[in-house]
Amino acid sequence: MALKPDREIVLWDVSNFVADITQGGGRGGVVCATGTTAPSGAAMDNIYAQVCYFKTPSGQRPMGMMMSDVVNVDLTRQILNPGKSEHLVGDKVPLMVKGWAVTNQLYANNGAGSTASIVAGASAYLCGSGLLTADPGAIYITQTGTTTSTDETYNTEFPKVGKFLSKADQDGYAKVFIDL
Amino acid sequence: MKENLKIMFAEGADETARAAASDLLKRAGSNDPEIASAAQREIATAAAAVIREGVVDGDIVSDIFYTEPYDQDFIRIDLDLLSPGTEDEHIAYVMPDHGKIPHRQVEGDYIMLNTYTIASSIDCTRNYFKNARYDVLRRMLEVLNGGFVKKKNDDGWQTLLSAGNGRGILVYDSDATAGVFTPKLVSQMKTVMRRNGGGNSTSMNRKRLTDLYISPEAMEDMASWQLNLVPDSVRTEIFRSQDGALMGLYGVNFHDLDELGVGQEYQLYFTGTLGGSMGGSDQEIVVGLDLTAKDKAFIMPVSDALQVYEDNTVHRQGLVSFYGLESVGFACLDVRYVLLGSF
Repeated sequence: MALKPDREIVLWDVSNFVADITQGGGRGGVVCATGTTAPSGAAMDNIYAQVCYFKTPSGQRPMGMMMSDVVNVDLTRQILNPGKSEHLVGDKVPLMVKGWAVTNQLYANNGAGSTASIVAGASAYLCGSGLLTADPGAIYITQTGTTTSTDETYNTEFPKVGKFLSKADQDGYAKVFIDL
Repeated sequence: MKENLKIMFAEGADETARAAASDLLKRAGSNDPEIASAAQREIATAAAAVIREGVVDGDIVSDIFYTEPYDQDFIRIDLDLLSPGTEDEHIAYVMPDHGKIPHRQVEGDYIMLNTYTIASSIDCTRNYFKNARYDVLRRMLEVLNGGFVKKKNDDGWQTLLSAGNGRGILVYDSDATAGVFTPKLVSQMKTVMRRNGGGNSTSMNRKRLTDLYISPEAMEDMASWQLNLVPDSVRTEIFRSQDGALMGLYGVNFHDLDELGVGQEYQLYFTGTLGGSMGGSDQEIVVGLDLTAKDKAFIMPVSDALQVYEDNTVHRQGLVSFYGLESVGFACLDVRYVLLGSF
């Protein structure tokens, strides 16, 4: 889980904590809001303002790309890496809500699948564990009435979070624009 | 009495000492056998030399490792914000007539280096200490100190060999006969060190081969170099040299280590413990180093310098005992300063 130096962050969000790194704590992926109790108001230090990587993103609420690592270490034994942007589980994390970065958190780097469909201009979707993919997943319809033209909504299994600005290089990094 | 005798017989002794020496010699030749025998024993004790003397190892790491004292048992060393191999991520690019230049955020890392304590001791019986016909105390301390030197030699060189093996590059002359050290190996190692050292031809801090550590047998091979390898002037220089070998070639200084060579200690460490492989059918490894910036490459932090103590608790056991402690560490901070070769 890594980011290359090149980036342009248009909008930051520093409101959220990361208390769960079960699905990973590395930077470069898109995190979603957690918990059934939503924070209210400005929520700059609200305990309910939490985000994490989700195993299944369907129905989740993407909040931004995580720009730092979150680690779980015993601070009585070791220190947080002073040379890196690193936070302890339970700390605030900086999120990029809008902007572009070069990340290797692409579906296929960490498992089966191909990144061949990731090209400049392709839409970027959030799949499991914060990874990004050009695959929208299953498409399903939610229906609120009987009129096809107005009561049906097409949804993708994977939430759309932006678009790719390049394809993956030999090291598995691609430039992606996040717009949430 | 033993120490006084040494002083009396030493060159440059004063009048009193010479007078005492003269008296001793006269007594040694006395007609009274008891007086003569006693005086002769005194002379023999002062003049005795030990035979079959063991040879303790000398220091072979201080010229390589940068030693710096630290008052803690660990030190934190920061790594550069530009990681080797990522230089291409910071190349400038063309910009249109207007638009915001994006960011390029970098960060570093660090390593923690711990020191560890090494110890040794040496003991003897009080009888031996009293009756030995040579300076046992001095020799015991020499042997004790030699143990620390040997331990640091091994730990330092094992660090270097591990770093070189971990780099994954080993240079060998495929045209040479296996087991024969050739000039081409030196030039190839120089080129490989340059190619894998980062930067370009005018970079300030790129790595280059400055010193090569080889076995005595490799040094001996130089005396067999024919005209197809070196010109006659170089062969003449080899034949006229005191060691029968060159001290350097192509700007690289040669150092011979007894611990390198077929079946030798550091060779066996490379092939056995590290599981390293040599090129082709080669028989020996050589170790190339860049010693231009030792403080950035090879460090030996010392948190506690060697302290030797006499153990006063063993008198009842009839012993004389000394022990020593030292806290040191070894690190190769950048493997680009090490390059292994073989022949």
